[in-house]
Amino acid sequence: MTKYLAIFNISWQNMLVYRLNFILWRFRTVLQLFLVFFVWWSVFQNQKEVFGYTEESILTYVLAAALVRAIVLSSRIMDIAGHINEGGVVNFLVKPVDFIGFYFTRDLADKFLNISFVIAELSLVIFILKPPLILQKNLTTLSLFLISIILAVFLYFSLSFMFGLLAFWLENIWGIYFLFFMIIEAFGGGLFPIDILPSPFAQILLLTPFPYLLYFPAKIYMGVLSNFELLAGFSVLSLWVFVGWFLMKKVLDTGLKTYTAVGH
Amino acid sequence: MNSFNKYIKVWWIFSFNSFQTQVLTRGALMLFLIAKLLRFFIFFIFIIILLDKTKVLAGYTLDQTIFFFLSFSLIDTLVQTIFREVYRFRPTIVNGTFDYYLIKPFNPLFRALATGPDLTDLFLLIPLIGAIIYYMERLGINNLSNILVYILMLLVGIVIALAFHILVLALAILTTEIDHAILVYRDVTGMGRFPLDIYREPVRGILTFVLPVGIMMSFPAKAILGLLSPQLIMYAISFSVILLIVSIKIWKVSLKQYSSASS
Repeated sequence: MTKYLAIFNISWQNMLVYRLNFILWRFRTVLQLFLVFFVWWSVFQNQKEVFGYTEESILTYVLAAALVRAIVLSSRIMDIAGHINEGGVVNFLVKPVDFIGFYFTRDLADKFLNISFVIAELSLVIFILKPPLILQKNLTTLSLFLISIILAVFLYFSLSFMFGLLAFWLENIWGIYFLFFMIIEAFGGGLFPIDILPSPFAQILLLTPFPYLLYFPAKIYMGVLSNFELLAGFSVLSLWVFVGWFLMKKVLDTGLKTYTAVGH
Repeated sequence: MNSFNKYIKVWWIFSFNSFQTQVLTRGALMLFLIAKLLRFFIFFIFIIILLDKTKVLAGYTLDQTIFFFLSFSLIDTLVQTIFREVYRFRPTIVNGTFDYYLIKPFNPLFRALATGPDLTDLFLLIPLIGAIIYYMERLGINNLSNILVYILMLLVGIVIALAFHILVLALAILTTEIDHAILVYRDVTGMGRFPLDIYREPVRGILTFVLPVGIMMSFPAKAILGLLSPQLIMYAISFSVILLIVSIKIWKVSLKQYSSASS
């Protein structure tokens, strides 16, 4: 455990070395939130209810999704592709550190840093803009919210790690990553709740892993899901976590068998 | 004229090399194109779904809102096509390659800015321009002076983008901390996807008069819709020229501060 704490500590310090980069990164997070927030805010200047959402509920969704995004989607897992291509991954193979454990610990450091700052940023946004919000007080709902975030973290890690491992075979995996990010932007629920889409399409999307990264946790927070929807959602999410983790391990094992680090 | 021909020839050689490098990994190239199309269409569909219910967004109809989005996409795509090399500038500072830029008989600013265009984005430009023309028809835009002002405002937007990219390059030389600066520019200008009227004051004012997102992204569409006063047109042109002059001055100052990392 000590070695993973050391990895956590070093990753944390590493992220704070380039302070200007860090400040700009936080600034970007706020800008991205502003766009989505103001689109929906302007919609409700002339409407009381749209797609079954009120101003209060949609702005709560937007801010909840922003919080979830900072936890789930903050990741440095993309580094693995470079490590594989440059041969640096052999360092991990000869050391007494679990390969997946190393990257997961780094990810956790990134997430903790994100959580610290996004709470401050969201508080500032709420203080300045004073939007009407739903403050969730139900402990069961909050517990389910937390569980959904934890599962979403594992899901995102397994999928993005798996795509990174494709560097064992592909020279350039950025095309895959870019498409993956765009699919999450499109169907993850960051820009709009998935349930505003036409019902058949929304139902199909809810069978994919993407809405469970942002949309599902945010909807749980709002406390609007029925017991059946919660059960169905957690079932699909758990299944995808299992599938994602299994595929990730499979790709890793296959990749290591074929890997040659020339010159290392 | 000889100097101009030289720059055109060098630009073409670098551009073709850049394109060849991209085409080496055809799979990745296809995935990038698909992802860019997906990003475009998801916003497009979102606007349609949203305005199907609300009918207006900040006072603009569906067709007008789509036109704002298409104008934003045109400027954004053009800027990314032309100035893609800026994204590759930091490593040249860190590993000292920038020294070679400085000793060659070729403007280092031009080299750092424009010699690695993303020609694959041209595939997206063609349907985009087609869509803009289609929506001009739908909106009944046939006033030649408005169309000319639209083109002028597009050029103003590109000049402002050029100035921002020069500032990013100068920042890279001064700090080497550049990774997020260009992405901040992308996120700031991304706020112009929708008409700036969706934002509350003082955000709207800041985005119009301080960070010129409004000038870059909203003014062209407003101009062609006849919603832009002559005073604002003059303001936009003046702002872009002044910003460009300031950015070039800052670039020159940054060059004086440059110390090589050893090449």
